[in-house]
Amino acid sequence: MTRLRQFLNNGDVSRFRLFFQIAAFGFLIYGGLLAIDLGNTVPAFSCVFADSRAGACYLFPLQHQVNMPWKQFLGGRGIGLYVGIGAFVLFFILFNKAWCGFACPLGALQDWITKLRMKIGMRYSLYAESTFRKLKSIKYLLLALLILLPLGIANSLFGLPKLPHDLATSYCMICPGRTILPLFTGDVSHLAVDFSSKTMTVLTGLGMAVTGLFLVGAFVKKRFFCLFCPMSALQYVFSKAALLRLTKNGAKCTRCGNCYRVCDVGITEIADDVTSKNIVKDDCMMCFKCVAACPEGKCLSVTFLGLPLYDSTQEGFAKRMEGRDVRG
Amino acid sequence: MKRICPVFAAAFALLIGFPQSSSAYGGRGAGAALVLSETPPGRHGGAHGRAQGKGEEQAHSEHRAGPEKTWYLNRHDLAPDAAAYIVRPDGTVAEGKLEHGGNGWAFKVDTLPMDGTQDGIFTLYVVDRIVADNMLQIRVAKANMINHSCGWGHQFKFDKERHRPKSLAWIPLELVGNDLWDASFHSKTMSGDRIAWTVLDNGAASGNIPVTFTTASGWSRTVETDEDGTASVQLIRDYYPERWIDFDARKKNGLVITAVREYDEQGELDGQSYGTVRIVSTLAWKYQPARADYRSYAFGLGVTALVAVASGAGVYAYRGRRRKPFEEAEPDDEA
Repeated sequence: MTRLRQFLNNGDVSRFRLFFQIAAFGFLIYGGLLAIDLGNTVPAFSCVFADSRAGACYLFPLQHQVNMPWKQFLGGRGIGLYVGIGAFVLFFILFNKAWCGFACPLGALQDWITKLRMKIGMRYSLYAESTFRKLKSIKYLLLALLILLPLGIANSLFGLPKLPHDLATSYCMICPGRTILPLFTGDVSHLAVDFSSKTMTVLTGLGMAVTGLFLVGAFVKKRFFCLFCPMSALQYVFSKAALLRLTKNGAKCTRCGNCYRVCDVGITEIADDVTSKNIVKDDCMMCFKCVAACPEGKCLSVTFLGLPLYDSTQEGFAKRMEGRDVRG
Repeated sequence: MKRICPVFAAAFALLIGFPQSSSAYGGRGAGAALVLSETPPGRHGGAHGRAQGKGEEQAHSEHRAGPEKTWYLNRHDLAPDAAAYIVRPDGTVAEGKLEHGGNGWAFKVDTLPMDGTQDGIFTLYVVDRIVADNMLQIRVAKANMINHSCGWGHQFKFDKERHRPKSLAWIPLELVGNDLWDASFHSKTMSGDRIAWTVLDNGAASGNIPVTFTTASGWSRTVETDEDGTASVQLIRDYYPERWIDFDARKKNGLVITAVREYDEQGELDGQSYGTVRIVSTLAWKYQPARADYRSYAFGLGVTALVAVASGAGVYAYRGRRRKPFEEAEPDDEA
């Protein structure tokens, strides 16, 4: 048991994550070809517009399901919404935000673009702390719009007229997942501006603009899009209840800052916060690079149902330093 | 209040033989085909969904499942023995109850939501027979409809059998369409598409049968089935609203496909003898504007390229601005 724990703690989580991401990408994008269907509540961008997907990103059905009159929230259609949320939570609490770090196809794509940048030898960008704080709130705004706009199609919100039906999946229209992920199935049909209505023109035009931003942004900033991702915001609502956790023992932290430096998203609390035990923040994608980069024994730990899966150790840190750059 | 273009409605009504005020069963003309429709007679014109008024709430959606759907016939002059049949996605057959009301003849199809056995393609028939002028006239009206909600999931996505509309082998003359919906049950017939239907004569493919394709806009083509019983045409692109703002990408345009077969045969029906049999079989279908009519890849890729170049240049300029010029440090020996 000790040897197994030593093996795990000395392991290269970045390499494991790379292989896992490749497998998850193939599974979620092409799994449908093997008749695999995880359902409509996958907590990752398993895009519904990729026809051979193995399951659907929950944001799409969520927008559909809240598009109903108030009275139906307590009726049969309401049950569909609550069952959907329940299934999403069940999926999510198993792996917490590791869905983002290990399974999300759009996240994996950004990591691969980052690897390409590193190969070229270009340096990456970081946000200033104040900019980071401002930008991170965008995902909550997107999540609110994602729910309010479909609600406003079926109901009059704040006395305003009902919204056009074309806003039914407004977030998906601007999501780079819609334009980019179907390309891996040979479907280029989403790389277009839809002029069928003013709403669709604006939404799909925005979608193509966001695609351009995504490609450049992911190239110069690690996990560029994750800071704006409403799925990340939705996940964080349930994150405290998740079984997989990233914990910190503040008493062992020397505030060396390694964990912050390797964090793709740039979460300062991972280094600065020495009081919280559960250290998963809303932008965290649970890639566990911070654990790999921590030189203090059991300062950072990954646990499942309280059982340690991966601890920071001096030996593991030293081994990883011998081999390669932990920033991977 | 839903708007109906009177010219459009009149053209389609003329096309499909509606209205026919006569209720005398023997008084129908030889070309008086029966046609099934999701909208009551008088509201024809391909006006399904929000097509009746852009921006109005969607009145009907293929993917908005309900407990039942009502189908209407275009004519009042049904024969007394007329019967409706419902073939469910799982192949089971039920008889529909034809009722005559303010909207003419209609029957209801039970489409209970959440019932997995009914997730898929239904085939509906109305068949009637009558002898007039020494001729046995058989009319078959057929329609295929989807009962599906994406919220139910797509467990039949890879089930070819579920995607195949079921037929009744004993129907004397029938039009069968394939690939009407994609694997996620979205109808995919669009303007400009080449469409093909197969004519079955008592369940067997039948060649040399004239098949007429007629759209609600008045366009019509007649072709004969080949030896495999297949008739195909390229659909016209016939949706050109005067103003862009009126364009409706979800507009469902009506299409009626009619096959006619006539042959000599001696026989008797309800004590009346005949020497000729004429079968008129229709299938009501719909198509929507082609994506090429309202989507532009040039604009899409142009916007992406513009934003990518602009943001890339922005990043480059920003980094350049922050780069400090090299200054040689001179050690202060005196310090």
